Amino acid sequence: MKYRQGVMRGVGGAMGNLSAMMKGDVKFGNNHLRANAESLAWLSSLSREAFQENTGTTGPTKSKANIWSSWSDFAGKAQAFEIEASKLAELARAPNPNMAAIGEQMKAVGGTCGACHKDFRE
Amino acid sequence: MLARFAILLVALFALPAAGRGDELVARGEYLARAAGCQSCHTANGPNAVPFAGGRKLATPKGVFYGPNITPDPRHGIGQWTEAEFLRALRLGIRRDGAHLYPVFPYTSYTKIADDDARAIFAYLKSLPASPTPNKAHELPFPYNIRMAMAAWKWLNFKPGAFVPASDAVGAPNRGAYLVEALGHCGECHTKRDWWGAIVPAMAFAGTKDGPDGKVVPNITPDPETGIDGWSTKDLVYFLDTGLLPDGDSTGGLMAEVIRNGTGKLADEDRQAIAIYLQSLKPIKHKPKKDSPRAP
Repeated sequence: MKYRQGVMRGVGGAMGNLSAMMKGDVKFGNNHLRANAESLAWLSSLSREAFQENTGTTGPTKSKANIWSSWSDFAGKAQAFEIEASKLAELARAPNPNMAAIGEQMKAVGGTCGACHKDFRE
Repeated sequence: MLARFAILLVALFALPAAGRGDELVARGEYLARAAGCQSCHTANGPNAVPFAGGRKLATPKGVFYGPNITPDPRHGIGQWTEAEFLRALRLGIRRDGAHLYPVFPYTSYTKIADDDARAIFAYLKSLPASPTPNKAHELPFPYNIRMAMAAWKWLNFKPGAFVPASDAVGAPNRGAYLVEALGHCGECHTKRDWWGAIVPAMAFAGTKDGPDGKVVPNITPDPETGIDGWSTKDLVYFLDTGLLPDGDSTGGLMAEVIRNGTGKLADEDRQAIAIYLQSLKPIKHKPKKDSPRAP
């Protein structure tokens, strides 16, 4: 359980950093944009495995039990997150990243976060 | 030659008129987004017809289903006149004279300017009509008696137009109008009393009994329990993307409000909303569920 929570915290960290860059709260080079987008994409690829059945339902968690009772629905939503996060990483990998497109893709990624949290997080 | 001249003449007169109509509809579309109509008037699911109703909204008073507001003559608002539409917004009265439940936020919409209400009506009338039948609300006694809403209104409802604050100009007033009238933010972000009426002293300080049983956060600028830690930029970005400063993202109804509404507004309007929220009186209140669910 701690592991999957760590994965989610990592996702939140990368997402928060990217948001801060989009808002202009911090000004770093494109290497930071890339690294955060890449790590988001890498972490997203772990989300389904990290939430497998044996990862625990007792203890301090916001995970709802329907993750496991509606696994295919959950897995589909987690996969949507993976797909959108990898698109974001691809945009960030460009030599001259298109910031407008990245901003739009951030919304798409955020949409997949929200869709999953809505059904499966307390 | 004459025929061609006639066509030209018709075109000359018809075009500006059509242009004005389109402009009104476009303005209405924008205002309907700001008013968040779509989220409650559209069923869940990828195949739902926008504005054709069917969305389930569970409240402490019962389960409501947003009705069809496309121009279908039988199930929608096809037979409604503009005056009837304005009356519904102003006074919470249906076309047939029945009282509307305040789950339709006429308590906020009463403040919408007449011109804006007319534009929204023009936009709704421009939508494709959908013959989707309405679903009956599932309400326990006494809420299943619509007439009881007359008493509710008498006790809890003051109709009246939006009054801008005399000491505020520009963005704060625009923000106040967007938040209080169109956006009806307080309808979900304020706790309700036994009557189901919002408690003015706790305006925007959140509630543990939000729609669909969710906790709705405090959006007053209280340092401990509200949005004091958010910059204007944070709020504007959130209203655009649904992403919180800590990297989390909103789910549930607010995600819909952003996707169909605030995310599609002009940046100046998001800015105005943010500035107004930051100008509210801070209220210390952390809404929490009564008994924490076993984790």
